[in-house]
Amino acid sequence: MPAHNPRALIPLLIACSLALFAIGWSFTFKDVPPFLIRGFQPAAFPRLISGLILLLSVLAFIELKHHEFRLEDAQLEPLAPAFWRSLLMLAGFAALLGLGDLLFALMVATAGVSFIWGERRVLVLIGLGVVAPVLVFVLFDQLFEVRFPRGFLLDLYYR
Amino acid sequence: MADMLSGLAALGDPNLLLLIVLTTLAGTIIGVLPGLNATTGAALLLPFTLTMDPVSATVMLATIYGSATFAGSITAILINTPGTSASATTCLDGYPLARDGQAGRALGVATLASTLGGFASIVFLFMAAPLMARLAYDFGPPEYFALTLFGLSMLATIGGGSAIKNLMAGAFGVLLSTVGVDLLTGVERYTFGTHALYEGVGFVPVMIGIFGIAELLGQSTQLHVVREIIAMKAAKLPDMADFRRIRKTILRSTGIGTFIGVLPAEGATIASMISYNEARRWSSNKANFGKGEIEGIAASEAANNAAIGGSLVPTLALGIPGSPTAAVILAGLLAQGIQPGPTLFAEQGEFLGVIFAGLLLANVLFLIVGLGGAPIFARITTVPVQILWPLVFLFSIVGAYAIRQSVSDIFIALGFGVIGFAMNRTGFSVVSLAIGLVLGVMVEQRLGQSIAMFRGDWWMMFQRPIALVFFALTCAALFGPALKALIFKRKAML
Repeated sequence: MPAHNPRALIPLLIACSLALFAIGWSFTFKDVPPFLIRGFQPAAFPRLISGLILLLSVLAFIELKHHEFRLEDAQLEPLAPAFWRSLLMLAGFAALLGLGDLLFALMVATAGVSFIWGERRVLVLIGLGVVAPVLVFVLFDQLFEVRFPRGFLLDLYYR
Repeated sequence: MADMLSGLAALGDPNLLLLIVLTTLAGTIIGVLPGLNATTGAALLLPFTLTMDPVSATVMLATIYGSATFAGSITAILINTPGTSASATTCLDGYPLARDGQAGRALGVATLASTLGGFASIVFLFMAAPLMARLAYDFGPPEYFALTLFGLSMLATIGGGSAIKNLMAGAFGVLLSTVGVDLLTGVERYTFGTHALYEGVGFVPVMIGIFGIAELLGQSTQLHVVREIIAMKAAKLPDMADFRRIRKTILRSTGIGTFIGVLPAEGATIASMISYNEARRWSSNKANFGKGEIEGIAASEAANNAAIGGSLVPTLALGIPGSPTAAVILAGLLAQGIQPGPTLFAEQGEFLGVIFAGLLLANVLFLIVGLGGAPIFARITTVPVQILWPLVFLFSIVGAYAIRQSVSDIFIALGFGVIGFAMNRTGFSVVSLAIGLVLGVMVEQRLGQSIAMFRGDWWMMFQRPIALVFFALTCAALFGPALKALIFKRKAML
């Protein structure tokens, strides 16, 4: 377990950046006239919490320093290739969703995740990639009256 | 008592009865599936509950909580993998006993202990109700604010990680709760001109992200783990000799579990660990613990199921989640338009009566499912992860969308899936984030109301006795552990 691992500081830097951004952005909030105020202005509470996050980040830094910026063994383990492929699949799903059809994006992603994780049986992949998404869509549409966003596949269904 | 009786009478409704039976089975399946637990299960089922009436929705979520926690013992005993973290200590003695050819005995003890522990804690929850109802009239905005602050301070002790990191995650959740149009003033905050953020960041997509999708990413790092599954013919109830051996342990662990469950933000996992240690301390068979001691199984299972009833006390009575799964249940209640708190006990006793009665019935069902269905459920543990998790992903995405029928919520769930995974890996508690998000709105509103009530003189909050008690408890929760460590350090130096 090597000491002084700079990676230990990354989460704190992200937290501080978020808190500073939240404080900065809060100056764009409108102030309300005194008769509308319920206790404090709308920007006050987010600033208070962001300040708290900054304070806790300083305390976390002191705690890390006390432990010589060590990382846990689990944090040092490299991530498996399957993780990166799954993450890529999620990104691909998001891209497909942004471009077109939710049902199609889900079909690709469910079969894709299964394939990445080692499934090679075609029937299982068809079951996961075609049958399961269609069944779930029909279930939500018919039973819970959920209307899904239009797309080239869903248009066929709604027609 | 009348509320409880009317609750029992409501169970005569065949629809509700069927829902409880089906949910118990679904919860058991969720509990035995690798990687899924009560919290993930409740988060995934949250979208379904929004189409139901509040009673059915709450009973469904609470039953899932109980049955998934109970079912965690099946995988703990048969494959040495706790179905839920609350059953981690069950592995210690359950698995050695199963390897010794006594899987049926181990499961019988687990089933009986779970049922008795769960049953007793529901009775406690019912007994606590009148007290909570009486308290309701003494609570104003300052008391609620102090109470919510206390709930948030308890995040410091959640899990076993760094208290500071837990608090940071909670504060991040509170900050997230400020996104959207401020309901009191109508001012937009952190919406960045995006219409999808006007109503704020929804609880459900965030919970689906941090509990469902983050877990999927976590599972992708463990595909190489091979599990040995022990076959079992049938579970059997403990014989008289075994029952005599475990009865005191069950009683003690039920008390510990209920007490730990009542503490805000503490849950079944801590309860089972403390109970296991206590069982070993009091046992005459100390040496056998970890090698297949039935007292160890009874302690762990009685405590983790007793913690369920206990954790619902602060959730329903105070609006403070008693455990991670209770945070999801709280989100479900809020989505149904029900505001938990002391007034819930005072004004909606019948509603609570049905929930208590439903939970009691669910506990009876555990016994039937555990003894009759354990061998069947054990087979479910063999579902390959490459089939199970794509299905979880499918339900997560459709569930996240279904709540507000918004594609943005899918992106929120995906984003929080990645954030949740990163938080888990770097030691930040996602449970703290979830609780912070749920309590954030309440803490801001109650602080605002309190300050308005005292016309800006916030110091007056400290002149209210109940609020003062909760402020003192908050200080104790935040600074107690550090002070204790300092005192021990001083003593060691002397």
